[in-house]
Amino acid sequence: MASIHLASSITHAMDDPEFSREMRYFDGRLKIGAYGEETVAEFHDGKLAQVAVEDTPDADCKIIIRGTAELWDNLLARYPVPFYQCLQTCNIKHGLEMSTTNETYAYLPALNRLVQILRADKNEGS
Amino acid sequence: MSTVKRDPITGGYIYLTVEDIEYRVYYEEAGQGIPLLLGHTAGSDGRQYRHLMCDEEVTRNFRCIAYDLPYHGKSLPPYGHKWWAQEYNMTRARMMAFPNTLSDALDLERPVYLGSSMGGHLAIDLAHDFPERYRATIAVEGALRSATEYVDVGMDGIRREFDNPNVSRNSIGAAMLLNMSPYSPEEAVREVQWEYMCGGPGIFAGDLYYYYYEHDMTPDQAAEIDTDQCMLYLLTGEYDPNTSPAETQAVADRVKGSEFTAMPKLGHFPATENYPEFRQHLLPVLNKIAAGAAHR
Repeated sequence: MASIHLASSITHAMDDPEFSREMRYFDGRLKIGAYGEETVAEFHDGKLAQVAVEDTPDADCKIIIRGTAELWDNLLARYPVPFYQCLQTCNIKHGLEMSTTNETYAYLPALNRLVQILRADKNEGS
Repeated sequence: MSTVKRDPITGGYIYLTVEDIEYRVYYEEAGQGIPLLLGHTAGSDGRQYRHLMCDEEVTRNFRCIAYDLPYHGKSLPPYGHKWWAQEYNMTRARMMAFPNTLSDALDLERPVYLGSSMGGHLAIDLAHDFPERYRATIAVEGALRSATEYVDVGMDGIRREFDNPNVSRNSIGAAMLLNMSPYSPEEAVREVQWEYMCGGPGIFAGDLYYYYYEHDMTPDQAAEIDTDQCMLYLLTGEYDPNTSPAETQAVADRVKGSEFTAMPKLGHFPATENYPEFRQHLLPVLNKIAAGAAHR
C-alpha cells in the first residue's frame, strides 16, 4: 500500500471545518510517527503555524502518536479489521504509542477526524 | 388536517426508592405485550433504544420500557441528597436494584431484561441472582468480565481520561469511536457520540466502576445460571474491543442452554450504531421469547 504524506494531509486538514474547529485554542506541537518519519505540526491558538518532518524531542510535544508501518496500514484501511478501527483501539490492542497528556484526551475529537482525513487521502482512487 | 410525523413513544416519571434514597426516574414506553426492560450503556441513556421502540415487529408483542438510570438522561440526581459531596460510582447491587424496583413499581410480570454494554453485563448478573424475576435476559455485549487491557487501566486511569477537569465531555463522545464498527453509518455513529457528550460530570467514569470492576463473574458462578428458569441470550458485535465475541463465547460455554450469536460488522452499540443490522439478530431472539410465552 502507498504511504501517506502527513505534512500535506495536516495542511489540507486545516481546510476541513470539523478538524480546524476541534483544534481550536491548541498551543503546542503534535508529533506523528509513521512510515519511518516523524512529522511535527506546531499550532498557535488553534492555527497551524508550521508542519514538517523534523527531529523534535518528545518532551517538546504535547501530543505524540507513533506506530509501525503495518499498524498504520491497518488503521488507515478503508474498512479496518477488528480492532484497528481507531487510534485508541490500535493503542490498547496493537501497541500504537499515544501520549497520555491532557491535550491528547482533550483533542481526541480532532485526532479522530484527522484519521478519517488520512484514511480518505490514503484510499483515494484505490 | 396536517399530517405530523411522530414516534409512538411516550415518557413519564416515576419515583423509586433504592438503598433508602428516593429517585425520580424517567422512562419511556412503546408497544404492548410481554414487558421488555431496556437498560442503557455506561454514561448514556434510554435514547439509545429509539429505533427499537419504533420497530413495529418488536412493539406488536413487547411492551418496551427504556429507563434512564439516575444521573443519566432525564433522571436527575436525587433531590434532597448531597450527591455533590461524594464521588459517583455505580455498584453491582445498585445496578440490579433499579430494574428490579422499576419492575415492581410498574407491576410487571416476569419481564424480559435487555441491556447493552454495562447493561449486557447486568443481564448476566440478573440471570444469576434473580432468575425468578425475569423470564429471560438478553446480554448485548456481555461477558464474564470486560477485556483485561481495559480493566488493567484502573479507576485512576479511567478518571484521568473521562473525569478530568482539563478535558471536555466532547472527548468522551470521541472516545466511543473505539467501540464502533467502521461499517456503521456515520450519522448513527455521531448520534452515539452525541449522547455520550451529553452526560453528567463524572458519571461515565463512575459507571465504569461497575462495568470494569464490580461485574466480575467467575466461570463457576456462570455455570450456576439456570436457563430453564431464566433464559440467557447473548449477542455480541465483531468490532467490540471491550467484550469481543470470544469473551462472550466464554459465557456461553459455561451457561448450559444459553444461546450466543456473534454479530458480524457490528460494534459495542448495535442498537444505536446500526439498528437495521442489529434487528436481524434480535428479532429471532424476541420471536423465541414470544413463542415461549404463547405456549404457556
